[in-house]
Amino acid sequence: MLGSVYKYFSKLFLLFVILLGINGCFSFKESVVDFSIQDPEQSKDKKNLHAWIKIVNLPEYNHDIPKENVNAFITYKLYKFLRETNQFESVHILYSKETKLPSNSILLEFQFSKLEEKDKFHAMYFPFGIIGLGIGRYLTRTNYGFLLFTAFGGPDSVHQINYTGNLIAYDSKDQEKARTRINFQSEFNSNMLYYDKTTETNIKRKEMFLSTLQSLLRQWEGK
Amino acid sequence: MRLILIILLLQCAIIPKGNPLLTFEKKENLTPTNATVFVILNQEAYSNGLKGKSDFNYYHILDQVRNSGLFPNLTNDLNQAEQIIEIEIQTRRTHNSILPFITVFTLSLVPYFQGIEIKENFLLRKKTGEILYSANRIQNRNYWFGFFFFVNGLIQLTKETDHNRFGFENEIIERMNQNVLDELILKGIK
Repeated sequence: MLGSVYKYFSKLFLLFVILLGINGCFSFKESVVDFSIQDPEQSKDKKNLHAWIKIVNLPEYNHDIPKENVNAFITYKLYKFLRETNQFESVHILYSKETKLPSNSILLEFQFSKLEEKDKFHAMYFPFGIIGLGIGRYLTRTNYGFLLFTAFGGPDSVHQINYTGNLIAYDSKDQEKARTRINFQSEFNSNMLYYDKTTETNIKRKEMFLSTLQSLLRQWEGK
Repeated sequence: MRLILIILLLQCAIIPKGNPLLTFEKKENLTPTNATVFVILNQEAYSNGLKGKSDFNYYHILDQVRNSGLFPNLTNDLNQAEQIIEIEIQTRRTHNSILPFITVFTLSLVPYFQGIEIKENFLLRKKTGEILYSANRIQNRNYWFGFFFFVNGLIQLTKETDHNRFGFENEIIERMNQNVLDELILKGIK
């Protein structure tokens, strides 16, 4: 009797695992784009340049704020990111073309052809999570096993980043002086142990933008 | 029993740290600016040094700025704007990551502790870059939660979109922002 009930529930459980797994494969959702560095960088080679960022024109809506404000908000995030890299004498946003620029200015234009971030529930993680839950429960023989399950991470997700475009540098007379490609695709697992996957995403974005910026500045200096 | 009662009494202590916000007199004759203003909010939240989320959003700030009466011409279009309000808010929380479990499993007998630091930078500038007004605010709080944490945490867990479990963060940010606006109203825009 007990054996047949167990078999029945295990089949039902397996069915749920399969259904949720399949559903998870198609459950990509867009997440908020955030370029910030957690703490300002200590830059050793600060350039004698005043950076001005042009307002970006994003290819598609990808933020939780009104669509008309997305470009301004992302520009501000890029501005804060650049400010915290400590690579320039000063960093500003170029809100108006009437702004008088000093001669040692560098105008930065972020041209994104793609700017995507998605979350996906990994199909295999749900069954692994259930096994983890079972082990946790078995090891402790109490419901404190749930605590272990939480500590191990439980069902988890995959985070995808896909940025492509160009970073272009102009001089104070709006002449193009350097150009570098933004091409960054990454996929990584996030876990409850990380507390929040946005931390991991943030580190990836920071690495990507710093290397892109440094490549651009090398071109600028070699002009 | 006495010890339990004392602990339960200390369940929801909020201890402010650092300087309190200055109070500004309310100006009777408010002169609103005629300029069209665009508001940018950049918000960051960290929990134990890791990137987190904050529930405070753009609409709260927009409502506060609009209700101040100083900026009647708010716009959603950056091209139309003559002036820009840039607001940066950074929240840093610190807590012991094991303590919430202990609080829950001891049914709040061991209270949960959390420290919170919120910084706000407020800047009003012309589109050409000239700064018209700038202000900074910083607030620190230490929170001790017990039964309140337990009940409120469980209620909030049912709300999928609510990342801010206690709502205190919103309250502090709103107060800081109102304080900046009060100062701006009193001093006036250059």
